[in-house]
Amino acid sequence: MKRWTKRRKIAIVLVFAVLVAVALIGAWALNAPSAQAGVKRFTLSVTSGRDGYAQTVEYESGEEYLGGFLRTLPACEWQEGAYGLYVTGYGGMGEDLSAQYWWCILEGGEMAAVGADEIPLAEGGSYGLDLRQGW
Amino acid sequence: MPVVRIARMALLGAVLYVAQVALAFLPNVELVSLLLICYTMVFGKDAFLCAAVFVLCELLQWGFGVWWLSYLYVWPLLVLAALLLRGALGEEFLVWAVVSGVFGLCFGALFAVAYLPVGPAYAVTYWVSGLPFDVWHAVCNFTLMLVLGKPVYRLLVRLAGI
Repeated sequence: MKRWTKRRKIAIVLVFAVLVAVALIGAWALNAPSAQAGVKRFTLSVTSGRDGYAQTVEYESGEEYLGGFLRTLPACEWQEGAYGLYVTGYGGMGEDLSAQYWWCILEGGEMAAVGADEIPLAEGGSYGLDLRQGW
Repeated sequence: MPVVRIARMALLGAVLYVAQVALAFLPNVELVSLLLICYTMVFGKDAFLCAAVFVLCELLQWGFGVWWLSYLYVWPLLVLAALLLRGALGEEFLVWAVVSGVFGLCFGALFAVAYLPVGPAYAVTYWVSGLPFDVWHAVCNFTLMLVLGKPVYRLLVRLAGI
């Protein structure tokens, strides 16, 4: 394979290194959450089809992130996981991993792509916990 | 298809699965990319069968989920890319390391395609929030191919001769 000269290989590795660096900078810039300071008013919906439970409550909190707020909510059962707060139950309605029941965190009515500790609380925001079955 | 060939592909597929499970506790550190590229270099399109065995094993262990739909095309895509490149790259493991690294970098984006029916915004958010892990995936894939690519390839060449 004479075509792969040392110079060409170095060039390819350099291009790859630049790509990785750009992705790293992009990841940092795009994922920096913008939290609001001060007290926010927002709603939290909790639904569990298994338990026939559905409730939406309006809250006020000075916490910057949903995870911080959920830690202060007495009904919320949680544990510290590898990615921050991990919800294990709400009001006695626990997850059941053997039957693939788990608590899904919602933001704006849609499944959140990040953990509760990375979801900034916003004034007028709507968040939720939904007990779902299946991975 | 000869029995020996079928058995070999099944075993190599099982090796993929064991390698994935063994390193599952380390986020985005995996040997599947390295092994699939090496399988393709040695066994050509038969590597698709290894990928199929691996994907089926994952389904049997974890059950069905959207992530599994991603597995259906992500790993065969890597085999396809390796098939297309193997003539040009030969045994240049530094360049294969870049290929493996680029695959790691694109992994989240490819994975997110299966989430488009859930919602395009969700798919994009999923990809963006996983970008730091993709960078880590790229670095690990590059390093693993650089260190283990040649010995694994040589081992497979010997296996192919049996």
